[in-house]
Amino acid sequence: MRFQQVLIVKPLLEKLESGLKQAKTGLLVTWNNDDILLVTGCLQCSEKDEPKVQFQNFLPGGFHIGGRFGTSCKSIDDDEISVQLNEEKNVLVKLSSNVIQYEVVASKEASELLDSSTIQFCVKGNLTTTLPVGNGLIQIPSEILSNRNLAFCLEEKKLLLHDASDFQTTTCESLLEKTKGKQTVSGSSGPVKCKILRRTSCHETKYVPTIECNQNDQKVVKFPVCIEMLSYVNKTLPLNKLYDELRNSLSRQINSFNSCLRKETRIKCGVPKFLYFQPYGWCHPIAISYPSNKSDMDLLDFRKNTLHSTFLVPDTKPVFRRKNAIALFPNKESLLLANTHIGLPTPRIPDGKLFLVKGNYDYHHYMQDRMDDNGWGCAYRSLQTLISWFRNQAYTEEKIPTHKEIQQILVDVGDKPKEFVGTRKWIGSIEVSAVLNQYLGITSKIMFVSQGSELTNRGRELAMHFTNQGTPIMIGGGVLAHTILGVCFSETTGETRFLILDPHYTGGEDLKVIQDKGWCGWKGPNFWNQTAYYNLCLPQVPEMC
Amino acid sequence: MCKVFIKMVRIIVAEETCAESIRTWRKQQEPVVGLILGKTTSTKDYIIKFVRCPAKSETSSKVLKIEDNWVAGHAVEVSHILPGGISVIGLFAVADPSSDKTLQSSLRQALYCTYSFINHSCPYKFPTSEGPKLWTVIHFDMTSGRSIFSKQFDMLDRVSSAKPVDLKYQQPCSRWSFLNSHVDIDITIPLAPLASTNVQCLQAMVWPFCDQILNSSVLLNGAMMNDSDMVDPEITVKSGKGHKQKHKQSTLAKWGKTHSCEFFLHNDDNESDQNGIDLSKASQCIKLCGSFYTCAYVPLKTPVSEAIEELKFDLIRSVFRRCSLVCEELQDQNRQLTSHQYVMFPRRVGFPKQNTDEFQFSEYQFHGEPLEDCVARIQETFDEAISVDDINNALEEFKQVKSTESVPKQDTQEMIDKDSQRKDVQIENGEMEEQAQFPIRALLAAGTAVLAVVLSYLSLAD
Repeated sequence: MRFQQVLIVKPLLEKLESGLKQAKTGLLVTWNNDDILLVTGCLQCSEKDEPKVQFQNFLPGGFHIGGRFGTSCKSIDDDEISVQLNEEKNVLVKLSSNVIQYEVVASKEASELLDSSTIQFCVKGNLTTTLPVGNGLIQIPSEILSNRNLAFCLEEKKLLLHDASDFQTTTCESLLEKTKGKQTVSGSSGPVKCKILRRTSCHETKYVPTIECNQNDQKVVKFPVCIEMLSYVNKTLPLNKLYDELRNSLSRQINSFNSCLRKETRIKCGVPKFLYFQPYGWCHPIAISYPSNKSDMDLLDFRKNTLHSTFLVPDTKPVFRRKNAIALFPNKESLLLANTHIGLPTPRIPDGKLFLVKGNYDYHHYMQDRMDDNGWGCAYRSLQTLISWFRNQAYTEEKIPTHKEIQQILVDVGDKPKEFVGTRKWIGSIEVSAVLNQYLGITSKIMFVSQGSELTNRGRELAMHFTNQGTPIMIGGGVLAHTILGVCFSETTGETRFLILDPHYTGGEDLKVIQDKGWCGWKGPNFWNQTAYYNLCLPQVPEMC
Repeated sequence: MCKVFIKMVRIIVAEETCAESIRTWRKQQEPVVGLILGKTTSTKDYIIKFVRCPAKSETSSKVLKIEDNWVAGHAVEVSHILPGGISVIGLFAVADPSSDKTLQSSLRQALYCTYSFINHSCPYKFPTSEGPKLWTVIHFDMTSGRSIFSKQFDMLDRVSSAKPVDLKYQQPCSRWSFLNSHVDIDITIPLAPLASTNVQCLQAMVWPFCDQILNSSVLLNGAMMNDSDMVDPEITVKSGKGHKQKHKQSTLAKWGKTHSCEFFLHNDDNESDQNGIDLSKASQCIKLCGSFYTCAYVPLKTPVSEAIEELKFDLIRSVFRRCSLVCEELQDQNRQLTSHQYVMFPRRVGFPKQNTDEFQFSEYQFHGEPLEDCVARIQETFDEAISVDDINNALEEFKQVKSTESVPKQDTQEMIDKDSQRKDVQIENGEMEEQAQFPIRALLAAGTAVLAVVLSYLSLAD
């Protein structure tokens, strides 16, 4: 066998097993180096669909359509892998028509393998070009990637790649080396940022510039071609081949743009923009091209009937909404800290399992936005954290409301009199659920606990919430409000620890302080006021795509 | 013990050939005013050449009359000939000190006028460095040849006081590095949004390209260098005791490293905010395609960033100069840029030829124009005795196009009159002012027949 190991990501295998039993067919996404073949994802399609090269445009550089799945699929190329069911309805994996042994790896392990074996290049540039307009249809020509004009600049590495670059026998791994004193040491394999440049010394004969103007020529428009591209390059690739590798990855993006443009039939043609999404279970992002002049709702049919269907993603989660795209080049630093629990050590309780919030949230607390709400605004801040979760997972595009706006919403629903607006009055979990419902259309479950000491017995329920919903919880009781981000629950002992995000913090956005001082941290049963009653607001995730 | 404060006097180092030029003019016993060509740096200035300003009238006079606009106009024309890194950095005069008591103040006045003219000669706004901009005035005594007045003035402050300078001669005045490149331009722009006048149309085409040039990355001999690296690191030699010593400048050769450069343009991110393109606004397009030659000289101890900047400035100046020449020719022909299929830029030709111990300057030659015309202009403007054999016309080539039609020859006298009435420098507020005339494309050599200038450009038959 060509490879020493064949690995399949566990969530993918489960998806394939389920899909095969429903007679689904499609293509497999693979990555490989000399020794390992890693199967990372699948794309549903029929045998009659467009050739696999079109589906390859969904993949970042370094990944390929390396096989097929289906009840009776046959390998096409010698190196293709196929997944099917045998007579006993068990998964059967073949490589070049031979049944092979394979290993199942978790997504996290697969990601770590990719991190250790590849360098991720994030390439950015603008290939604005002039396109002829014929019959209302425009396409970006492949000549835009002519290797005589194209160059890549790795500014941090002081390296410029073009088709005449010669790096002799060096491999791409040398890009990660750093000089520490007199020694060269290996650096981290974090993404390498890269810019597209245009080379200006391509013509062999140096002709004087000539202006050419032909009134009979075809009409043209100036068209922006905005590139943001991700490419996974094997570390062992010779540096001399890196230019071609990046150029080939770029051609996928251009092909994807052209697919997007072919669907444009209106006079106002949307400019395609490439976005990367990482659905659950994938160990790397996939690339989708959206026209910039269409909103997420305009693209509902495309997302539901093409993307969710192709990638076998349930259409109950807004995975392919723009807000869920991964930013390859973040525009600016957010003023708020996000996911402040990451990096905290796990509580040590026997057989304790973690049940944590799923997705991203922002830490809202006292004194932010120049709002002095010290002593009264804790529930408002917890509510803002909850709303940030729905924004970050693209369930809503509504902005984070201010204290006054929250109060106005409560007046609008009839929960409070109009004099309430502008006061420093507290709110509780009932008000929080009312605002979530009125502002975002989100329903919530309310959990009542008669004494704080009882909370430790609700560990299982809270664990179920984080498993099924994954949303942060607002808890109010005594005189305080907090946000619960997760629980560590032991089925055998019943012990529970609570991951708490405390909105009473008045300091600056210093993650070290916030974690070290326990403003975000694991708390035991004694954290709660043992005699006070508590209400918990558990927001429910809507089914939508 | 008292402390003695010594005021640092700025040093200007001139090539020995400059002293020879002064001696030559002194022998002619006629007062001369002219331009100082060289390079100013933060530590010292270098002079590579003195260029005499042509006399406005043929009548000789022992008294030097300096006409600001005349000198400034000449300076603008000379500046078009200079390579990157070399510029007009002052004025000189060779005159009897007793002949005109106001000579030095006249020189100062002409200096500021010249600076202003040159600064406004190119419409592109170059980034400027902080600090004073010091230009030099030198008055040489006709009789002794000594410098009797050597001062510098801050061009950014008209009321600043003169600063003394110490003029020294040295051969070479520095070790010079040479950078050059061919830079391709390939622009296609929809015609519809372009402005109607030729000048605005051309500027709209080249301005974004020049912005890209200014922000571009440049490789020197295929390598990306750090900004702070020296273009030509100083040579060190071991002395007899084994200690390394830097070469004394006087023992250095005139020419240091030659760098073949390559430009890589970054992309304009402005268009990335567009969500949609209106296809109904498609229009015909106009293209500009070809290659510009650019070059620059920099003295010793010049960092890479500064050297690259000089190369970029030379390219941008050359682009705008050629646009200006094309517009002038089209205006003479009373034609629109967009009414022709092909309009060829003039090409850059160098003189003297390479592989001489001289700096290479350049002129522009239109397609179909005889080299003799370029030679005549050079002689008139640059006061340089050269021949056609001294011209290097291999820097750029004219492209052969499928069909050509020469513009009918204009009457020679008509061409002379047009040249002598040529418009001059645009001033900042966009108004054109009729300045004192300096014949840009001078036709006459003293005592010779008028040379006809055939300026042809290519067009399809109507």
